[in-house]
Amino acid sequence: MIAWLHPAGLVAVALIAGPVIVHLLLRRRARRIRVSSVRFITPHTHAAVRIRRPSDPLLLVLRMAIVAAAALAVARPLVIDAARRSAWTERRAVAIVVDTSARIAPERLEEAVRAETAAADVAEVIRAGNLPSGLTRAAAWLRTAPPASRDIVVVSDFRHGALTHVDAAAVGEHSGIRFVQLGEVPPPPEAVELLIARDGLKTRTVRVENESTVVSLGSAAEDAPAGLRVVGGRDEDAEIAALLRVVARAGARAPSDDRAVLVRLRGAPAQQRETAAAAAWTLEAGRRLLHWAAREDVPVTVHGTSDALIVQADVPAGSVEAAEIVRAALDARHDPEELRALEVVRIPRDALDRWTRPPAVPDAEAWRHADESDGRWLWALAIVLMLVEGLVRRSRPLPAAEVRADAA
Amino acid sequence: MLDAALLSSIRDLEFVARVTVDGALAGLHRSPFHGYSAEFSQYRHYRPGDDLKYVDWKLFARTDRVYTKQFRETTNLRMQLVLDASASMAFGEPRVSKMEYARQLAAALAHLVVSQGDAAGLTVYDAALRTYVGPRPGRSHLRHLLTALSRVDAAGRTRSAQAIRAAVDLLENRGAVVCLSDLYDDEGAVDAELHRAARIGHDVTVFHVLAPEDLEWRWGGDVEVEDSETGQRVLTSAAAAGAYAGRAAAFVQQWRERCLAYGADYVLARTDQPPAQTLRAFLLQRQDVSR
Repeated sequence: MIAWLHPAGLVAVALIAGPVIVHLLLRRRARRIRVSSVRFITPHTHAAVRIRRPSDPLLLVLRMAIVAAAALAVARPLVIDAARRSAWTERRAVAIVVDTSARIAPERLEEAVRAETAAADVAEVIRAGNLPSGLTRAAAWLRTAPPASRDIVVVSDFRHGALTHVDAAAVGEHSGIRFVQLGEVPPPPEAVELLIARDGLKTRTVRVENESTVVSLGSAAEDAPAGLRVVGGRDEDAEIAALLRVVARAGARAPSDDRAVLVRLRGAPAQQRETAAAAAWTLEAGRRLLHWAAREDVPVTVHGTSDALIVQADVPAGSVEAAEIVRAALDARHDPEELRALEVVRIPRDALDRWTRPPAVPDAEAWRHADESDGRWLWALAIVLMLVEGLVRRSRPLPAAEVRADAA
Repeated sequence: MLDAALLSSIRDLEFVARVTVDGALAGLHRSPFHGYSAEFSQYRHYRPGDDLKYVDWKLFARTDRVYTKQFRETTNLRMQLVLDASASMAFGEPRVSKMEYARQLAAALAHLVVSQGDAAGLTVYDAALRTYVGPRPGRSHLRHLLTALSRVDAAGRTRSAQAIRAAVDLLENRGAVVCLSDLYDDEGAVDAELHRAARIGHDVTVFHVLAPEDLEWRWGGDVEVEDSETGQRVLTSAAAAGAYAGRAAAFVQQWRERCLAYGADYVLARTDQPPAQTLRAFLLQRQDVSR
């Protein structure tokens, strides 16, 4: 199959009529001579308008062939055979959509882009702060890309909501799509509620003493320190349990045995301060908690020990303030920046895998955007024919265009 | 005799004139030009070979002896060369143009006349009078005249009648008017002016300068012919050759007859003949007439 990338150029083929016109239809110009006077000359008006027969058929054919070759070359022919189709299929045209809003170091982004660009034969990098918009642009570019297997590669951290399966499907069947997810995938935010439901953890331990109720959350080991202990008044176990449920729904960070928190609410018996040196994390956590309490105007005192943050709050166990204090105490163990990162929810990898499609093979109309043509062979042919025409022309005696009478 | 093409390659027009005159006069006894005021000098006994027209017949009747009258020539011939320098005179290149041929002829005539002590002048014209040099004797004047001749280029259209009239009117006394032209012009007007000059008493000579191509059709096939003066173009073919030659011959014959009608000398000066040959033919023709 021969396709023409510039079919309008075929109109130029009509130019081969030019040499024919010159040779056949052009009215012959008589030799022009200058004389002293025309007074003795009898006019023959029809003498100079005879139709000329081809004076040199070989030259005529050569010139027509030159014009035809050049005209066809202008039309940019493209021979589409199995080999060319196979080459197109093996070639990869990739539109790389880079999510500029991703919380990823620029170096990591660029490294991924370089790797994808190197793997492609034709690549276009599209930077977008909005992934659906970037996908639309990528699909538009691929529609005009040279014939090749077409693929869209999306480089992002894929935060939840940045892309949906609808956006991925909107790309269309003429292109594949692939997702490169960058950045560490953090564990899902483990709220207290999750921790309660997890096997192997001591979800609740209630020890009723004479004066107080202590609710502890922590590892299953009996002798391990509890991650969270809430101490209230006697018989307040129901209030404390309700308090923990509220905290769990609020999404507080899970307690950990190495960073234990002890919250003493109103009604809890007084306890002497430990004299052991406070750990660094308890000092930092205490500072954060006090800062929060001052801002929220919550009556809280804090001190740290070597292994726990101890919070004294003069609020009843059944109050909202108590739940807020417990949640704030749990959160105070972590740096706020770290918390924000931990709060990023990403699109699950398995979802991205479901949306992924293999590269699309070139379709029947892919040749329309071919970046190559076989016109160069026609140009070469035209040049060769011009050389031959020049040689033939030089071998022929040229008629004088104008002759002076006295030079006859 | 050196042909015109060879002579045209020589820049020294005075030398060309001298060579041409020497070639023309070879074998001739004397110049055919005569002054009009030859003064009687003396008688001498008739000797065989003397021209009988100088025999004093009245004295022979009285004395029964034959005497020949001798005259003392005076410098009184005033010859005005009237040279056509229109564009048609440029025809003839690259061999020799009619202009070049006429220039050589004019130079030779001027040299001839000045050499015998007479006066020569020059009028050059195309559509108007272009150059006028009054007739004067002397070598220095000859050089001045030849310089003016050497600067003449053929261009423009032809108005011969006005130039001939001006040249004739500027001649104070009777003299010789020598016209060198291809006569491609208003024939009636030119003929009238030449006739007028002859009627006044001037010795009129016409050198009809024509190239061979003016007289014969030398081109085959279809041609577009352009008039060198008017630019008019005519399409024609080889079929017109016969008619062309006949018309050209008739043209020449017509001018010959016109000149003979009022006693003017007519010389057909073909550019394919050496100028000296043309000049010699003219001098011989003059000698025949003067006898």
